Amino acid sequence: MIEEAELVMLLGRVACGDQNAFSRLYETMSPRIYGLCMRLLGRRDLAEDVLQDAFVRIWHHAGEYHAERGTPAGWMLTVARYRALDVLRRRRFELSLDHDSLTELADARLQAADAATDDTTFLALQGCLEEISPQQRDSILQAFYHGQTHEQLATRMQAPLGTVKSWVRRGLSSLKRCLEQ
Amino acid sequence: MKTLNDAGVEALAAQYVLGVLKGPARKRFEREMMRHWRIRQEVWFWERQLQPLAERGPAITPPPQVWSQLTQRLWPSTARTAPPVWRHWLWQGWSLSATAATALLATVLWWQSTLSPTATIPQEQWLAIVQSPQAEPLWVVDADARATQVRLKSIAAPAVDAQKDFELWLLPRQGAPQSIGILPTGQVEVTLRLSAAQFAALLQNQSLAISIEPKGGSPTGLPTGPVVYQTKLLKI
Repeated sequence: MIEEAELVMLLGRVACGDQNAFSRLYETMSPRIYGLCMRLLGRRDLAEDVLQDAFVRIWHHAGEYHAERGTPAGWMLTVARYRALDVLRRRRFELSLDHDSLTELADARLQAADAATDDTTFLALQGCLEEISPQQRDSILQAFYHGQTHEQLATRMQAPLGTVKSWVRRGLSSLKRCLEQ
Repeated sequence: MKTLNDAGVEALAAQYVLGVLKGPARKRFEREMMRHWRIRQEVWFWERQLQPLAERGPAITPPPQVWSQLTQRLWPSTARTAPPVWRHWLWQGWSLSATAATALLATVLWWQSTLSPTATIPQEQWLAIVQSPQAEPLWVVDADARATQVRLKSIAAPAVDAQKDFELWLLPRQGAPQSIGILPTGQVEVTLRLSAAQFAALLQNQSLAISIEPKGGSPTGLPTGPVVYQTKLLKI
């Protein structure tokens, strides 16, 4: 596992136009970013496009990274996630995972286990997610992991749209109170 | 969105990061975000808090063509035609190192001229020049092994925001970067004493990096801002 300080340094070198540092960054981060895109988009072609777009953005904007935006790995995943959300919303397609993608995702679970990251942040989030209601938690996690809209959540959870919107809004608000403690 | 109160900002920022804010509302929020620091901070709060979810996701190696397509997209001329590009790179590399050598020589001469007559040149002296991407010298770093001290001299240090400082780090062969100190930005010189262990780590890898940090230096003891320059010490 590459150290956080090394990733910060690679980002800095990329900000100065260092192509070798960029290649190393890609080598290190592309599997996690691609995994995230696959989970959000469920389609290999779209996930590849988003992975590429995310790295183009990282190349041009590496200098904008700072600690307030989280860990360097987290920031790169955030960049990719926003791009994936744009693609999801623009295409308006329903998630339909093909067989190969499902196998890949199953294989990938094992690797996820040793992707140790910022434990204290994770434990805090995990603890606070336990505090909110199951419906609030499920709707937030579904939206995060699969990029679901309020409407899709309502269909999936078989609840009125207004109810789902309030689960998300109140869930996030309680989560924030808890995380700030 | 002019009258957004704190609760409104909080709710919208959370929904923006989660992704449930969509369509024109999302675009509007992005515009407001550009205008207001307070909104950006709220967005960053959620980005930070939710990142562990993304960081724990599956890792899947992407197909190799993604990398080649990416490099073609970023650097179309270098990715396609190999031989002419090689010549171009060689030439550029040569002229860059020639510029660097000239700068180095000039600096060594300047440095020696600043030494007082009684001070003989120490046996073990190391020098590093921090250059801009255009190969202009920005700072000179001089490491004196006998005194385990480092002199930092600003030549043409770039401007940095009044709330920020440039911080110099030594990069050990293994482990986290160690802070050497804040770099001067005026026409000034700073001498810093290093511990013997720090100095040994400095000489072992001879690598230095400079990051942009909050005024007074990184609050965490590790680089928190972008690393903007890197350089190596040379024995003189």
